[in-house]
Amino acid sequence: MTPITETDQAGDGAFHTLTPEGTRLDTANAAQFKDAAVRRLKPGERAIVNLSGLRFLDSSGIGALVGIARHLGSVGELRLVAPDPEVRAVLSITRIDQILTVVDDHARAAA
Amino acid sequence: MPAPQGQAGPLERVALGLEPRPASLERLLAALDAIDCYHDAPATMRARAAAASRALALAGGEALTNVVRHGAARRPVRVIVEAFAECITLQLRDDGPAFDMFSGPAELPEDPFAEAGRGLFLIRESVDEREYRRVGDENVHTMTVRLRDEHGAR
Repeated sequence: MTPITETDQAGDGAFHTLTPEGTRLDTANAAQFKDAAVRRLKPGERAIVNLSGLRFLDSSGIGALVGIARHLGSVGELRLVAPDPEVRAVLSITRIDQILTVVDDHARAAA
Repeated sequence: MPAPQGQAGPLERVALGLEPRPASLERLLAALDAIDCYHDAPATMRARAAAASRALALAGGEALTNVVRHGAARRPVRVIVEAFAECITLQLRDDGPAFDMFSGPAELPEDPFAEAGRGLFLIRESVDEREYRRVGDENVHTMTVRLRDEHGAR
């Protein structure tokens, strides 16, 4: 299974939008997801990860998201969009929402 | 496993054996999803049970990941889920060398961009009780979430 789909190609300064396949980002698929994202993105680019389809996120999934943000670097940016309440709670408990921008809808994320 | 102190036996019990590999997480999550004993309970109780099940899915998944990463279990990891009137417990039993994953620090990494090191913290934040015992040649990690209105960060 492809671990990721890319729905938008970024123009100059715009955002790539990446969507994990399936409803979970966890120890079983997080490394694949991160590797696929890193292959598609260059340091300094900006990207959105669409979390709307996820129902389960664990520490491995968080590690993958943080790893993508590290790959993009301080010039680039990673935003997380549309987490469901359970996924948002995990982002909050682990304080990932303090280092990455988390927004509820895609239009705001890409603004 | 014995009923928590002062409680009757479980309303429902599920036991399964999982190969110690990441893909086994799916079966652990499915076992928690399949808890059915609260089906006819009042809506508030069903909501509490659903929240407890989600908390144990996160904590149990992290614990299983830890056992897999330790990599020393020879037999399948035994998972026992028991649903009581007051709580739900999840127990992992593995035959690796003695190892208490609950004994060490369970804090967030100092570097907020660290790619690992949040699993034990998530377990601590998700459950009400964590217990480790060495029984025979097995590590027995038990996590308990009480059924009440709110679960999550504590």
